[in-house]
Amino acid sequence: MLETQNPEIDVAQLLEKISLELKRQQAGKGKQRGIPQEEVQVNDPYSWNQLSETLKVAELNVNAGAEVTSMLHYRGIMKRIALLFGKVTIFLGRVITIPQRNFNSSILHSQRIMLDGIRDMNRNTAILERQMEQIEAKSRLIDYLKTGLITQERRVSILLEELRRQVKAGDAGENGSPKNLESPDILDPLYLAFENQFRGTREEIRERLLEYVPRVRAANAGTEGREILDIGCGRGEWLELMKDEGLSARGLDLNHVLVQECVEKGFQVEESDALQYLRSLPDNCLGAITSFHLIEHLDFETRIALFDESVRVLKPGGFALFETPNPRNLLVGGCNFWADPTHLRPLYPETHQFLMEYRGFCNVELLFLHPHEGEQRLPEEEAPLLAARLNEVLACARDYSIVGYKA
Amino acid sequence: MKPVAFVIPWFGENLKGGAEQLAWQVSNRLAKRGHAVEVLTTCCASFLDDWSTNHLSAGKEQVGELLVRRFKVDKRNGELFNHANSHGLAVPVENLQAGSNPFTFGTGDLFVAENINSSALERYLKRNQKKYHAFVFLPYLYGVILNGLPLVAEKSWLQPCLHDEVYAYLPDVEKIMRQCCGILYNSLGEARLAHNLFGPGILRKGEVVGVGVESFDLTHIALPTRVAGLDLDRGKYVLCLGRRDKTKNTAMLVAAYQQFRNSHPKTSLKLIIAGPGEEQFGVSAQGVHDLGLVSEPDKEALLSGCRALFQPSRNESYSRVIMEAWFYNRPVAAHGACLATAMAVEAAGGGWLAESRKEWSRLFHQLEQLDEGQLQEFGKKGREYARQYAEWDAVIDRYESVLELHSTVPDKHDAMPRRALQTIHQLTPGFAYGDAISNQAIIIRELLRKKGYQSEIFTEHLDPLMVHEASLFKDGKGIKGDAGLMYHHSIGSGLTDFVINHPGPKSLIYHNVTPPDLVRDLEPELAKILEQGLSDLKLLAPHFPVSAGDSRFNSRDLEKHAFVNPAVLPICVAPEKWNIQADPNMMARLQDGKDNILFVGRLVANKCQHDLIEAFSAYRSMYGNCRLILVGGFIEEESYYQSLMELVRSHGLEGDVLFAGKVPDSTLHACYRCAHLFWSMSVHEGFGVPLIESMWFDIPVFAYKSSAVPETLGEGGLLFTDKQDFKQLAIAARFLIHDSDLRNTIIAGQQSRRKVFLPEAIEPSLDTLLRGMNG
Repeated sequence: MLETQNPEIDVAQLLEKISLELKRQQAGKGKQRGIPQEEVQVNDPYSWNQLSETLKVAELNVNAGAEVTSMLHYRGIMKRIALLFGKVTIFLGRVITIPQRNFNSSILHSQRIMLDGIRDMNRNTAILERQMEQIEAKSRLIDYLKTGLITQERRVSILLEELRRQVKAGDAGENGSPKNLESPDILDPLYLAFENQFRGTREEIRERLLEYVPRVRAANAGTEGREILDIGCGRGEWLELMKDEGLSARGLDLNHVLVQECVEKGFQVEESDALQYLRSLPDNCLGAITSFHLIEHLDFETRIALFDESVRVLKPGGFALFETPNPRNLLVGGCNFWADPTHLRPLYPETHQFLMEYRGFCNVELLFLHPHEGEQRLPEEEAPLLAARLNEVLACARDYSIVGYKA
Repeated sequence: MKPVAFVIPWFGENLKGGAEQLAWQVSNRLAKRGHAVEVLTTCCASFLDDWSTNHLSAGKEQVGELLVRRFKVDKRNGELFNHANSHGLAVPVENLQAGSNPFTFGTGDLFVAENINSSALERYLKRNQKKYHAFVFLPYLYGVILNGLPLVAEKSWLQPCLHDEVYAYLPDVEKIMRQCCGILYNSLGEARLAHNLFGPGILRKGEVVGVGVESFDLTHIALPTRVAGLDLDRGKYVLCLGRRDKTKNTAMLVAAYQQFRNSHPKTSLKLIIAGPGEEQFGVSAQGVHDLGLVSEPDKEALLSGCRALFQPSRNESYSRVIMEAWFYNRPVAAHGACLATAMAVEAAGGGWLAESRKEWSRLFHQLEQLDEGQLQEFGKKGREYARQYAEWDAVIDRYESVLELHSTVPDKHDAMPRRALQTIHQLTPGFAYGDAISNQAIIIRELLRKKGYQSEIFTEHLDPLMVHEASLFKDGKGIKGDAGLMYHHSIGSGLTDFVINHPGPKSLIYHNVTPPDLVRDLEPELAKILEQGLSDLKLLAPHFPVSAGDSRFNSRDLEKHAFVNPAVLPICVAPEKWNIQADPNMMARLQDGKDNILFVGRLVANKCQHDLIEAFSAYRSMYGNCRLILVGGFIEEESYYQSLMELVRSHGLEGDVLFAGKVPDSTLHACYRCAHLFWSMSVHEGFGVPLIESMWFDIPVFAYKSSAVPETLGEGGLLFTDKQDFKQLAIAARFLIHDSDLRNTIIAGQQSRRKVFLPEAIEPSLDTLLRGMNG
């Protein structure tokens, strides 16, 4: 197949080498050592091409003023005149054109360096984006696994509880549970009066609650099969708002009087302990769980149990929302919080966020609400730095909510 | 005879530095042989002195047999110069690319303008050039040379003493290399470097003259045994001799020695460094002795007693000390990447090559193992070589012949024979820039004029770019009836009737007509013109008793069409055409590390660019990192071009196939310079000029065996007889590019083949034709 008149070349040997290489190539087909295939496609090739094309145009003109154009459209004497004229112009223009050309080329050079830099950055960004996607997918998987783990933990703790109860029952030889004889029911009317005094008017409360409505809609809660449960529904402001919005919600409260009042208003409310109630529900049955100014009444174990149960009963995509006074506002944390004698302790926001995440919620957010405004703020005219600093701790959000989603 | 002038920035007997010593030796030796020799130089004392100070007085001075004229230097801005200089030196050596200027943003102009310059010397050159027989300018990188040579270019010889360093890439250097009428090289390696940097355009005006070294009669000289307070232990030290600065690589050698000493702590081998320059090396390193500048007898003593001479510099155009060491029978080690020294050491067999520090360090160890007999063996080989290339008598003989200092050359015009014809014109159907037939017509015209004929070129279609070379044919205007006429036939034209009826002596030169069948499918219009070309040939035959084809293939074609006894007049392909600057943008673009595969030829079906794209695709899929450059005119609407584009798209080769189109010579120059392989799939070539052009550029040619291709290639290139298996062809192409043995063998064949197409080689064929026309 190969031929040459050069006697120095051993064609037979060359052919042998070629066929060896051909075999090698065919054998190693899988592990292409050749083309460095562009693994990552850089986005938006159109404007990319445009950029390098524009630069090419600039490159073509980088030597502007260095040479006379060939004046192809002139002939004969006209051409000579044109050329002469052009040469003179070019010669005289050198004062300007030489530094200009240097400028052109230095700018172009730096452009090219930048272009290369950008190209590298784009490629890196594309790589990063891809890695980001992978990380996100993994994170979703982790959330899912977390939910599973929590469920298992809960089952184990129920079993343990059951076991302990049976052991105790065996020991005491008694039946039934030691029901709290000092029922707090007698304090119920007192608390209602207290609420009316300190919590604010129905209208104010309703106004504050309005801002949660978009979140409820976004999670598709309150629709068919995705009911909302309001724990500690109190006077039913939230239930009322939900009803007005055409969303389906029911409430729970321990206060007999408040429950009574809500039922009379036509809301679906039960007098029940939150944990007991939740434990009675099947998995994945609620669209959202809300609870306004409740958890500051609960001890630590109960709060954890509340989170655990909430994760269990929520449908995927559903959320749990807990509003509570914000101790970061020193007035709230140091004083107002204690206005309610049944409050246990102020709840530190990030701790809560951590706890909810740890117990299986995802995308746990903190929303800071209801700051002091207008007159309640210190005027900043006289000592602006000091005033700002004080406002930061005295006039900031009075409440916060913590919202966590089920994956 | 008029004097020869040596032009050099500094001149004096005791100046250090290769070029300065060379100028002193050559000028004096030529003068001693009785030639009138002058030296034109500046009042600046030496390279190491301030370049804007006149240390010496201006004017004439007789130094022995030499007349030295000194001229005042210009004031200069040293700061600007240093800025420009360091801008250039900041470019890493491995980033330097032939044809692209490392002195960017105007620093190159600064470098030249603020260099050592002498307007007085320039004025003198301009006014007195007629008084001189020739000027020899050396070395290449100073203002006096860069600005002086262009003033007397027609009489100038450049002795560049070229190094592979940033200055060699300065466009002004390329300019004087191209303008001068001859180049004197000190060594083969230097010539090779110049060809790498500037292409084949300067090939034929270069001559390796060599540099002489004084040979010493050792028996009569008592050499000192102590130098600079150091006892010379014969055979116990390695010598590194020469000026030291950053570019001379001495620091690397010291580091290599230390590395060697660390791994062999008990060694008794020392390293002695001697020579001028500011950098110091001996202080910190054990076993290293830095003697600084030494006297001539001390230097001889050092050379004669060393175990070997190590020359680590990468930047030598010629190393005098290597030759000197060989005259003392001492072996030499040189840097493998320095063409000049490496080629000499390799050719002589008088030592070793090393590149990296590790290799140099290993060399110290290796050297310690050899006994004196083995060392002598190397030294003797070196001595043989030095006798041949470094003896002054032989070198000066070469200067005399190159500079034509013997005025015995007979005037050729006197020997012109009597003949019938005074005028021979040429007639071509078309005359275009870059066209092979047009170029051939120009060369024939020059040869005819040299022979004393009046000669012009007339054409039916004249490219506006070529109006200065030819005239438009208007009903035979300007062609007298008794004038001789050479008609170039290649394609159907309206000239047939005129040439048939021309009464004077005439000949036809046939450049082949592409068979119309090859193009009929895709280009029916072209096919028609080609058909006419063939039918015209039959009409022409009876009227042209004298005819020639540009290849045997074409002569046979003529015979087929009833021409009688056609001769062969090959197309002339001389490298001087490429004594132009290559397009710097293209040069930069193509030197990006990819394998550049080139084909030059119009985009037509019979040139089979489609096959080439297929084969290239196979190459790319196996090896990657490659580019196909298709140079040649096309019209975008043409279906063949469209089909090629489609092919490129379908193989996903968009970024790697470059349709360069019809390009100016400077761009084509760049394509040839950067190409690694010329690959032709063409099924029809009447001659194939690009095949020969590739040979001049030392590009291996890989071509399909068809039509005139094997005849044109001769012993050059590699042919393939079938193009079924693109993969196999791609592998062969790969070997041609990357197997250096195969590549070198092919190139050696091409270097001998290409000579057949030089103007002087075709002159006998032209003479045959002319005899026929003269009756």
